[in-house]
Amino acid sequence: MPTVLITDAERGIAPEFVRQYAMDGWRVIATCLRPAAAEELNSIADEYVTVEIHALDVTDRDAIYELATRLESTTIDILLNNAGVVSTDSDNLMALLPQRMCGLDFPEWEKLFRINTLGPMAMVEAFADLVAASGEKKIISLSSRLASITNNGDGAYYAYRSTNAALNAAMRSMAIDLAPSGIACAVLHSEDLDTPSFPAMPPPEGRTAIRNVESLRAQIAALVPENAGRFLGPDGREVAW
Amino acid sequence: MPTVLITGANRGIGLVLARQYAADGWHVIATCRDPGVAADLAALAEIGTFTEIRALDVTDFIAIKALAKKLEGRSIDVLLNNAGRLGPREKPHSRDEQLLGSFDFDEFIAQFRVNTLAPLAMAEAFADHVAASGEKKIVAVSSRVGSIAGNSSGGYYAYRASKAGLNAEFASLAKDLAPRGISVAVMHPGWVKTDMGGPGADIEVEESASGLRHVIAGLCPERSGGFFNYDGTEIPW
Repeated sequence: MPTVLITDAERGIAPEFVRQYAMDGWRVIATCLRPAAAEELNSIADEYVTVEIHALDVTDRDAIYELATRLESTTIDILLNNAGVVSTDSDNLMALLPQRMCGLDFPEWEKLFRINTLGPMAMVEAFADLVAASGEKKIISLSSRLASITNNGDGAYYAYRSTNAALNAAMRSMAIDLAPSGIACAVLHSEDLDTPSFPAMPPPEGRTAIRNVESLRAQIAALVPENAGRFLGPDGREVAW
Repeated sequence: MPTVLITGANRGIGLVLARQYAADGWHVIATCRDPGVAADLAALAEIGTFTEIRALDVTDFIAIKALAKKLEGRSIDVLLNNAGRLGPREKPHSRDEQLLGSFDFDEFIAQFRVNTLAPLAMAEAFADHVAASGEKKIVAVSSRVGSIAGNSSGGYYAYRASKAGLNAEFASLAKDLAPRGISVAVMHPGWVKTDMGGPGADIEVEESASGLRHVIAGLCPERSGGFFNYDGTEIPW
């Protein structure tokens, strides 16, 4: 039975990944900040015995290494980093408004860098050996289509764009540095390209989420070292950096 | 007389940029962390050029706003974000802290503050000064290493991430400041023989600085939002 580890699995489109991999018979190691509060994730785990939930703060590097040690007897076929947080205050809808000039919040920006950029980097560092020992050998980070510098048509979103572009830059180096271990890395985004950037921030729901995750999973399945190191959207097309 | 504000002007490319602009008759506002030990910069101010030295740690966002307030009412033609960081202060061209397997996240955060956050904090604080000038330009010294498309050798995680972050935010800045007539660009200085570039680098500081000044001189609203090499060619993101 192949294994996928999904971080921040209660957030955004990640629960749909958990559900679909579980449905296909995968062992799913789902991590989240507060398992007790992760209702959707818990109900999926109730339904599928192969889903296990672990508490993990991706900004806590020691905790990441502790989890890797606890899991050292298992192999991880796919490490799926669910990054791409737009705000650390999910209840504050104002934070979803474009991060415009005038009153930029630099401490918040640094927090997003720790979550969106350093979090996945720490996960890769800690789990690369368990991925290299698996059959599939894949590392995926979920980024945002707003991370594309080429496609920046409407400005703003400074913290969100820059921390995700920084993640993309790091993942590109991962793809190169981990190729000798046989690991294929890629960055994906789950947003529809034909919607405006705001309010595209909330994750796709319902049928759109199911369809997008099905498409992204097909792309993950098709990933090989030869086509690694790219940025792909849910429609299967490569996204320009 | 046009005015340029240059951060990190006490050494390397920043110092030579200050020297060249001053020699060209520009009024140079040169900032550095500790003017008390910036002997080369002090010498530049003493030879009769219009150079004023200001103490500024670009990661101190309150100090940035205070300096902007102090310079209120003055126009700045070119805001030149030059200060950058590749390695720890005591070994500025080290990349050991960025090798996969030995990440030093304190260093990563330090680079993110200098390379990514500081240029936007400067842009936010000085946008009015720039908008009031004749030239209206905000630029940052980025690096080809921050080009994701151009990455074929891996490594350099903190530097690549922080410079790609800078490139992403300056692409937004170009859009957001276009209505005010301000042109924005990020630039690659070349691999330059400085403390950061190391002695084995490709080009001399003078060549890099004059190339960057040429790129800045040619910047206009139509070219705003670009990523330019010091020789003027465009670099892919």
